[in-house]
Amino acid sequence: MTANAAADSSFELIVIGAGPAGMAAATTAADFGCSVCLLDEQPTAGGQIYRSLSRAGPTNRVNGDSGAWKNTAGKQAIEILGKAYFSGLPLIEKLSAANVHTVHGACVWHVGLNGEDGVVTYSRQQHASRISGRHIIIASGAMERPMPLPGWTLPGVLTAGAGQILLKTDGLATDNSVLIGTGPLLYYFATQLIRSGCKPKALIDTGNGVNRTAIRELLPVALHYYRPLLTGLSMLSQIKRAGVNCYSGASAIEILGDSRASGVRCHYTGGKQINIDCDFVFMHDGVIPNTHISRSLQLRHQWNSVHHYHEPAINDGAVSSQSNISIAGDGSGIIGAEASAQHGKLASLTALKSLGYDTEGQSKNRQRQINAVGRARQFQRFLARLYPPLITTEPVADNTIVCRCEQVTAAEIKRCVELGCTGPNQTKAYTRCGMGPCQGRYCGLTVANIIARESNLPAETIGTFRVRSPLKPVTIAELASLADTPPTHTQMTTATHTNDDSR
Amino acid sequence: MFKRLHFANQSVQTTEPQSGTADDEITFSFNQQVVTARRGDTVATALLLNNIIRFGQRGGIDKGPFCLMGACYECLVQVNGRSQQACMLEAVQDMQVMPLILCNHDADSPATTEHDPDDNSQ
Amino acid sequence: MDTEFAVVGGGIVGLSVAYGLLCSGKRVTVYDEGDTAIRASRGNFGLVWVQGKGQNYPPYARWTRRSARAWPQFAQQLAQESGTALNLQQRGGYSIHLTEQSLADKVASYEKLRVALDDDYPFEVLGHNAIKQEEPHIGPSVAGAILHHEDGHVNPLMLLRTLAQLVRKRGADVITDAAVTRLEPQASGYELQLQNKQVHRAEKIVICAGLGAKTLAPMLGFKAPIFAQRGQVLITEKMPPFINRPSGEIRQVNEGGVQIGASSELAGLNDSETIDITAQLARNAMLMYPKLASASLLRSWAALRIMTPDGYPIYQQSTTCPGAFYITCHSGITLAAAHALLLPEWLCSRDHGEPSLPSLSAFSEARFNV
Repeated sequence: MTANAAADSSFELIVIGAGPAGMAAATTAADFGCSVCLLDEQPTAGGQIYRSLSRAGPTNRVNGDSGAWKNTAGKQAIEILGKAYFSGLPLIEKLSAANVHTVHGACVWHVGLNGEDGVVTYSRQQHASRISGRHIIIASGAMERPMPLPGWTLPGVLTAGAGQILLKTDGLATDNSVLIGTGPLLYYFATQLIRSGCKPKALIDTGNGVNRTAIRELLPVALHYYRPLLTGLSMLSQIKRAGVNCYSGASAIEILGDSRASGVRCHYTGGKQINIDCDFVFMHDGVIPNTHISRSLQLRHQWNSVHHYHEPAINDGAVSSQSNISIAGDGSGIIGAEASAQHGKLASLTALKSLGYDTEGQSKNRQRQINAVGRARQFQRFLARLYPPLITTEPVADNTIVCRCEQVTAAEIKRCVELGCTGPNQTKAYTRCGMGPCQGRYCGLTVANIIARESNLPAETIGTFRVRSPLKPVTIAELASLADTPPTHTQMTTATHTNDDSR
Repeated sequence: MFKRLHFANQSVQTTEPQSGTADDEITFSFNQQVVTARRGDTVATALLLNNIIRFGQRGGIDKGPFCLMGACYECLVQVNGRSQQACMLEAVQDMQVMPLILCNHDADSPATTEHDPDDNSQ
Repeated sequence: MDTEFAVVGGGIVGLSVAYGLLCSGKRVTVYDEGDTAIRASRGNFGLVWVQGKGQNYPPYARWTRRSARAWPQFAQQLAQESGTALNLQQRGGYSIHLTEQSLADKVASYEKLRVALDDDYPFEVLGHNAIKQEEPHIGPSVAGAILHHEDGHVNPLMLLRTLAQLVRKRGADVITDAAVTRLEPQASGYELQLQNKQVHRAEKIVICAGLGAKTLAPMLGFKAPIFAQRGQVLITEKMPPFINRPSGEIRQVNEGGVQIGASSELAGLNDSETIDITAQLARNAMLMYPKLASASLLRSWAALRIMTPDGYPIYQQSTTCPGAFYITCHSGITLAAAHALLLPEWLCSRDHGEPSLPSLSAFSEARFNV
């Protein structure tokens, strides 16, 4: 059920984000008869991982098996995009059958508390609405880690995730590309491009390769994760077999070009240098939780030193430091799509219990879900050791732009440390880094890393940008539409005190 | 450049194979240049398919799409007098899209033009 | 002694005072807190503002104008030393009114002040058409505006950064991440205890600690009757210049964003922004400049003003601890020039013969005696 939520309607549960965690959370709650509103920014459910999957609709499937499609287009889609993508269909179908008030195209830009209730403000088609919920589950998913390299702001440089979105949503691919970075998504995307007939010109790999620390993280969960491991190995061999030029141990990477990307230069194993011409660059350096909402609420967060990112502190039931707010899926720390769905269900059941629903019948599943999520976190630790972010192995070059919106370079951030900045907020005031429209999403981690490195402070002491409303830009008119009393001159005059006392 | 793959030219939604029909095709303008797209495409997708990768310029730096998931705001364009993310905006027939061009200016400098039409040639 | 002057507080007020002392050849140590401290200096509106100030208190009106007039010299000096322009613009500013009545009321109060200031108060009243001439984008619901020729604005973050840079360049020790927890008079000079338990010694102390002075200043015999007043502010995306002069409510900053402010409310030390207030600010802004309706709002924020019961600054030397000074105000930007250029004479009174500084007795804490 999809509809425009009327302004000021209230629900027992509000779920933000319709990726695997959000879909599972909303569906679970609806099964209990709970009134639930699901808000999602995209036009269809699925999140970034299963983005646009519902367009591939259920009508086309035979035997309920996503592997069997009636037409050749469907077959080609599966062949190129991979079966893992289509494994999200059951979640999407369950959601569309469930009694969930789903609002698509809803950009959430403020989450606040009003007494016992959470209040979520969002805009849809430039119309702002406010809804309240007794419990909120934030399922805002992940984003790609910023990978500041010289030239990364040039048109023609996209994230690998962006490349995948083009492929999933519109069936777009390009040849003459170079892939830079590390991590499963990058290799997966490489194989998708190969199967699309758009073999990348090169893969410049910044990974560490198999190492002892990584193996130690893997051992406890290797048995549960043998399938993804095999898939990973098979991806690597597909890339090799296709004859993609792979340069491992890459360093000093530069993206070349004047008004658009035209090539990549780097050193690789053995100190050799390579210069590759290309039209497009796809970069990827792993994924990080999307914590803008949880940080705006000033919930407790912690530094994860294996993943090198901040994550919200949650308990086994996914409840945050605020008892009526839960955080499920990758937004709570990366766990992957499959575990995110389980985590969403777990978060929902915990929330339902606190809302007074009898969830006793689900109690034995609960421990199973907790264990599964725990194993997923362990497996992600293995991946983090295997594919450490570039910023942990190589400092950002001085002339590299760190804040894309305001064009602030690494050198400017370093100068702030000399001026006594011990965290990102003072640095922001001094340089404008993080003040642009992305609101620090693509520079926050880099800024923190540079400050830590320059001041020899442990990363966990550096902190994060204070996130303010709106979480994403809205028009002045949208905000103004929420003013509930007519303007009077009293407000006008009281509105002049910032630098002006009229007493 | 980006091209649309075979599977996407044939709908996977219906049982009948179906290529993009005339009904599906729309045109709009970017910086006064005519752009063809398919109904349902985002502005970002349509521009990329037309080999346009510079969507604007800010602070003297050329801007193109980057994350395509609505987070980076690098793909901002001007539509109906306001800046909007090309990756979150569905292209519609006859839409007029302009590059978002913002110059650095000082308080004392006179008003700058919002965009230079010649400045987005690929 | 570790230092001659210990300046407690590394915001605009503390840094302006420290900069002035350094220019007078004093040895200065600045104590500043960390990244997440409550900082009015990061949240303010950036006006260098005269109109309306001291409407019922001419000494404050005079002091404010003194500073506004000193600003060009101050800005030039900072720019020369740092190589950074502060984007100071003093071409006048408005008080914009949506009703004839409120405009008339305001004009009446300014006229009263003009008399108190010996007819020296350069403002003019603009009706709708006149303001429309000056500001082509002004909205139809604007009744008129008062244009005061001494008003202006500056980039406040650039000011903060430049001062942070210059006090270091001029040789101050700046100790950051160092909250001062205790101040104690000694037989000679003072001891400061930091949060990390370190103890520093100074001959003189200047408390410029914003809301932090509430607990620190009484340790040296001050009353510090201050409280936090929350103000909320909006900033839009960068836009091509379309607003010529700032007003108390709206200004276009030099980078292009339009800043919209500001509310005032009591909320303790809660510095979070709220939809209710920011929505009102947005609606009023649209009435003044309708073009703003379609502008993207990038960020809203709240910051805490440091208010005294009557709203005027405090400049006070301790009556019990000589050599200990307390400075507080909520117009740290406007008064920065006076603080840097004029206050050293007061703080170093023993060294100077001829006073060029107006009497600060109007701003002593004695006025809060019951």
